Amino acid sequence: MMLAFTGFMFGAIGLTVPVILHLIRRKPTEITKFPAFMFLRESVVAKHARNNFRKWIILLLRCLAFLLLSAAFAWPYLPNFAKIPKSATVLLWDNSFSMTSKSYFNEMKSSALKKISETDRSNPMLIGIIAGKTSWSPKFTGDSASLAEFLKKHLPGESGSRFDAALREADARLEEMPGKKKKIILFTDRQKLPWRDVVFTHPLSPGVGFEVLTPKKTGFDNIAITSMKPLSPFINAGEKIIFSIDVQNFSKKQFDAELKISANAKVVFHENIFLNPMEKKSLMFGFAPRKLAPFGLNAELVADDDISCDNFRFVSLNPEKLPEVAINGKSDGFDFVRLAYQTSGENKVAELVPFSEKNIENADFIIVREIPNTAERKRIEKIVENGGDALILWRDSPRMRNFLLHFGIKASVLPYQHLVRFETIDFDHPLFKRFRNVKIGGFFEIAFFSTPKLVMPANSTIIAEYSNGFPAIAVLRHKKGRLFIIASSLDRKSSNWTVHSSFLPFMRELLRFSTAAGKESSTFALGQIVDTSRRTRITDVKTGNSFSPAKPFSPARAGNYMLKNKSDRKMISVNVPIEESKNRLLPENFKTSQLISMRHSVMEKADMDSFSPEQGRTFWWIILLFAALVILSELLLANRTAL
Amino acid sequence: MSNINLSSEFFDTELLSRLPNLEVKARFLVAGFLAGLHKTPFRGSSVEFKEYRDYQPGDELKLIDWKAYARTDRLHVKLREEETNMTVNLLVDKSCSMDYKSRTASMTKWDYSRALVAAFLLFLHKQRDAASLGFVGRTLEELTRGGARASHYRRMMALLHRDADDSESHLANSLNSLLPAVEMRSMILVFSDFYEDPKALKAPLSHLRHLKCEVLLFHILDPMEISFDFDEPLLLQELESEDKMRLSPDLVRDDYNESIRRHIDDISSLCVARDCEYLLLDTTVSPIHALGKYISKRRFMQ
Repeated sequence: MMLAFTGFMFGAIGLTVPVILHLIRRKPTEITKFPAFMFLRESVVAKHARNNFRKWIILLLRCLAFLLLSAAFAWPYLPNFAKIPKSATVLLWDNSFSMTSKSYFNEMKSSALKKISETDRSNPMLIGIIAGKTSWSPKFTGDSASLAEFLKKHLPGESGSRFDAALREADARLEEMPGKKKKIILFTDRQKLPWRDVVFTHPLSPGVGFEVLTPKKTGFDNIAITSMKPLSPFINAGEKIIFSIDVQNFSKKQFDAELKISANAKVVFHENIFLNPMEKKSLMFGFAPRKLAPFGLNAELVADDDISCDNFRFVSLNPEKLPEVAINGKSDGFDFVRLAYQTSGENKVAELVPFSEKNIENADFIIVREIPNTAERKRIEKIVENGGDALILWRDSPRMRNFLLHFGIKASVLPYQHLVRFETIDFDHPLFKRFRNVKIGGFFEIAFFSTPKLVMPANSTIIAEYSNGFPAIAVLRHKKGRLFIIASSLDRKSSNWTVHSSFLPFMRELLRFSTAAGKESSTFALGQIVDTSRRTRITDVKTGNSFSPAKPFSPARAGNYMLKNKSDRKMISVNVPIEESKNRLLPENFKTSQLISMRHSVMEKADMDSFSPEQGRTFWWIILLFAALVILSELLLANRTAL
Repeated sequence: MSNINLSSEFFDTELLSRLPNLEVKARFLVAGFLAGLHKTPFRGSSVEFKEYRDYQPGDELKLIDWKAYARTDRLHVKLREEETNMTVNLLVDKSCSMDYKSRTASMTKWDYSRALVAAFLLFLHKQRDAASLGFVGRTLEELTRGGARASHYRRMMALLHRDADDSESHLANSLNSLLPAVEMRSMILVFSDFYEDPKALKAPLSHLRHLKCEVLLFHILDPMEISFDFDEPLLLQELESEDKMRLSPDLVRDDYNESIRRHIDDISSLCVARDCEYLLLDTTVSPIHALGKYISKRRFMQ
């Protein structure tokens, strides 16, 4: 017999000691006079021996009552060894969409169902469906029908998968089971990706076996739409928005495919594509929405590949307002800074407004090229302090030096002006991160003719340095906002960067980086949490079904979803995680045996955390019944007497 | 006293205990007793005229002097000198055990007995019966000579002003001591808690009955002595011997109740066997009806 809560037992025994002492020592001290002793003497003397014995019996009954009540609270139980299953199995199903490959999905599913059919009461099973997070069947059971139903309900999956968390949880669940043989069976397709976070140096619990079941034919022939995104913001109705679409062949087989892009169930674009093995193609198409309202597009790649769910791609467009950029100062000759944001009347990425207190207040981004008046300067400082961003382009003047000194930046003009170039650029900084994969002219070719010596304060970050060792581009965090400093006036007298191919992307990237912080994303991968308010109604564009989302809301299927609030409507697109489309298999010599612990299994007794009354036969009611009988006997025998 | 009407206050022992002295208690009891009667308890057995008095409701019609009524137009009752040579001996137990009062009682057994004896003395004095008083201790003490005079009555009342102080009492010895002094056809009233073996009383009662004496035993007990209704464990001390005993009431209550019931039965049976009167008096109950017991016995003797 074991106790679920041993602490109660010891506590109660500890309490019993003073009570027993109290009962033993409880004797009357006050003298009561009474005349009729002649009747008491014979009665008391006759009963003395018997009463003495009775008193001890009463005391014993009281102690026994205490102990029984304590035992009832301690919850003793007898592990029901007769019902201990022979084995306990956790079946883990890799529900990433690579498992939906036509070449082995049915084979794996049949194999899993066969395993499930082998379960019975003495060999119970638990199923874990591994997706973004693992879904578990309610409990270990030998009911193969309910297990099979659970598995079928969750197939096929569209998300990615990670094994480590699922394996550890399966291990913990098995530890609670009293079975003699414990085993985890993982159904997966030998893809390398889900194993990326498994810590092989941390084995499973002792006695837990691990088996990985894979299809006979691994790998798949797959093509996918890897990306589809608009290249310009959705600002005006009827204005054509250019989308870029990337499709890729992940196999060693050639594919003929048809790309169809639909909006509101109407095909708006289609093109036949021929993809060579491992080839990636980028396409562009334009589409002009008639209304300035949220809308969604979906692309479909019709091809005879093994995995179909990554042949779809969804994109959402929500009306946007062009960011406002307050800019002052003039440039000598062409104003390339202005041109970077407004290349033409139609193709502009920002609304440029001149400096005024009101414009500065409303601007999304501020570019300072000339020192503003005091009121404007104070307004800029306030905006930056409250979380706004501003760009300062260096132009030598005492007022500029004073202005920078105000932010703790010491600036001075070098006595000898030499031609300098970028010496170092921090490509890990978010501002330059996207330039790592872009093959446009090198930043290091750009020449700068007139550069200052800037001494930045400690809380600043130098993003780029000139070849003379002084900061070229720096960012200073000033209270809640940021101040970008470029140590050049960016006109033709000070640099040739403005005519370099990297200038326009850099300036636009700087604007995007500054204004994107407060923007909510409308593109999600399956498994990501979508932030919704309490009164949001969600409509699945494909099916038309409307529902109130659970918190946290994570869409189960890829698609476009319309989020409706009282005052707001927004389209979001949810796509399959594209990294699963790649066909990267585990090496042939990959073994999971290192996950199996070499220590012997020890059947540990249940403790407070793992105790479940279902594990054994409890004696709670029996002990309570005994306690009641003992208390009743004590009452009858003692009849309120305590001695 | 004639203004006192029959009411429940005469049966209130709490009120009786609060009365200031024995004389008042005695008058209270006698008044209560008389108020409860519907006719005059005694009539004169002699033919010798004593005096007239006004008719009072309850007087027998045959006692009205119709001739006097014709003369005066008022109802008068003829009173006659009663002839009797009967002496009433009152024996009161003055052992320490009588000085006991439980929490439910309003007076000790001793006070209760004295009030009752005083009432008897007053009543007898009013009826001009000769009375004598003695105290039961180890032997019979301070037995007064029988008499019906007022001075005699006052002396006996004065004797009652004492405490129960004897460590023990022997009723049988006391009754035996009474035998030489007792007159034939007299009455003996014993007031005691009778903590004595009833067998010891057999012989003296037989002797008294042989002398044609009427014996009335008033068994005075506290309610706690009858029920033993204690709750908590006790350290008891005997009043007479001061012996101590620790006990649990619940454990001995049944046996005690059985013993005291048997003891009461024994005394009662003894009285029946010896043709004596027995009355168990609880100190929470008014002793008025003890007087009634006496009256009925007195009538029987007439």
